[in-house]
Amino acid sequence: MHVHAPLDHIAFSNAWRTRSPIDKMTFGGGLLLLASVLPAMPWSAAIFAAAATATLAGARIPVRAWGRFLAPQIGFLSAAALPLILGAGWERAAAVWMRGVAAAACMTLLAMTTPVPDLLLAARRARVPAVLVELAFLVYRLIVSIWELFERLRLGLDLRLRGGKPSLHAASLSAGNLLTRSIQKARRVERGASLRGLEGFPMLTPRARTSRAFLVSAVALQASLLAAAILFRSRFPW
Amino acid sequence: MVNRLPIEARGVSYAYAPGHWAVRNVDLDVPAGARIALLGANGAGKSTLLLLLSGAEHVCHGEILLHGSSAERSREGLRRWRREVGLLLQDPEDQLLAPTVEQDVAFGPLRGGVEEPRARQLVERALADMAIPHLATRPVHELSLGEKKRVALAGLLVQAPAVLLLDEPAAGLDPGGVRALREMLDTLARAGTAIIMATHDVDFAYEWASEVCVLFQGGILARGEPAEILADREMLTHASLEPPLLLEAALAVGGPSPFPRSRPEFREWARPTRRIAL
Repeated sequence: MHVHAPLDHIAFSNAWRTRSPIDKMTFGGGLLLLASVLPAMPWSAAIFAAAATATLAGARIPVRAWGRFLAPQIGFLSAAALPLILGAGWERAAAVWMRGVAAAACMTLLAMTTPVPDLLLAARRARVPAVLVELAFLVYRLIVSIWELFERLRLGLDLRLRGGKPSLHAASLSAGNLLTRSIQKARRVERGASLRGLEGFPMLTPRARTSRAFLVSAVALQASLLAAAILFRSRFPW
Repeated sequence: MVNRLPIEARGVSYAYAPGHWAVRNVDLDVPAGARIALLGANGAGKSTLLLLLSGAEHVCHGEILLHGSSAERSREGLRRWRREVGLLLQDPEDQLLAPTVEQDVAFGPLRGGVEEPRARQLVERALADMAIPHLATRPVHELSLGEKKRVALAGLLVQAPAVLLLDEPAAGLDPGGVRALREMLDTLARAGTAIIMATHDVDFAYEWASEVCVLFQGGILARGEPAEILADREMLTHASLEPPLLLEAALAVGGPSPFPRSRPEFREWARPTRRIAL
């Protein structure tokens, strides 16, 4: 049996997996920047549409997975917008909400198309101190391993309960078991690392290369949005 | 005369807690190209002995020799130890450190100072040898147990160790995986790599090993030719083991020695006199 975090799995298996993180960061980061500076109406909707199209049609991420990842973020933004209605009025609350949703779509695009290791390798190339990147790599490996443990324990509990709801006692026993086994796992990984002589973490340069055509298209899209926002400034004031 | 044995254990003992000896006074000479199976019940000391031979644990008494010299635990000594001796842990997940397969296999050469283009070539060859080039860019945590074992083995083989230590390598593998593993180990042994394997699987040990070593309560109970040692039912019962099925069948049917050690050999051995309707 092998189980894995759904987001991590999608990040490793989408159509943009081999695209350079710089391409994806330029596209998603640029849209994110525009979402924070352009007027919410109608530009946040346009940014949301661009991010959604890139995620679903470009990276070919299943709509259901995308919706499942985005929904809690929209729920959180909606809950935060409610008190804003009373304090600042409908228009202001709606603008903040729209900006938030557009920004969430941009972040979702990055999160669902770029595996954590790719981001860390990009960070290394951007001269982030090696010790921080190496630590982040090991933490990532441990988190993934502990996630697998968690899934196994959850499955074991489900099988023993035959689909019933776990009692507080059973859930707390499982949580304790997860903690103990996580510590054991960390010790075993430490031994494995020592066996392989871990003194620094040299890595191969990623094969993915930046695509000039993609970068030009991304910047052209962002420039078009910015130009349109300036052109229709009188109709949709900043 | 220069001692050229790649690895030796001299009177090695180890205790996890005072008075609880996991390995007792073990002597082991391992020539190049040897295929040694360490057999024993749970807790017999097989895995601990492998950890001691790999340098992962520090012996309490005795010493480990690499190519005739005492293995040192200095920083440089441990580096040499890791280069010379590779250990595949029972759970390969514990020794896979990098996020993707190719990055993990490349770890050893890159850490050893090999330039990246050469490291890539070595990785490609190691993955091809293990029949897993298609896994190169996959994340290691999404692999099956068998695939993880192959990746961990590729990570060891890419450094061409003189001694390969394997802890239950066939556990969890399907028959095709076991066959591929045996073929790969035979190739390595022919090339001069000394292989020591800890296993419960007497059938695999009987078919593969050039020498078996039965461990009991941390000490060596018997050591020698597989056909001789594994025919000793009384000793095996004492060590909580069973004779291999093929050997037991051959002994029950009766016939000329040497007895068959694999299924094809058994078919050939049984056919001339039609001892068994096959």
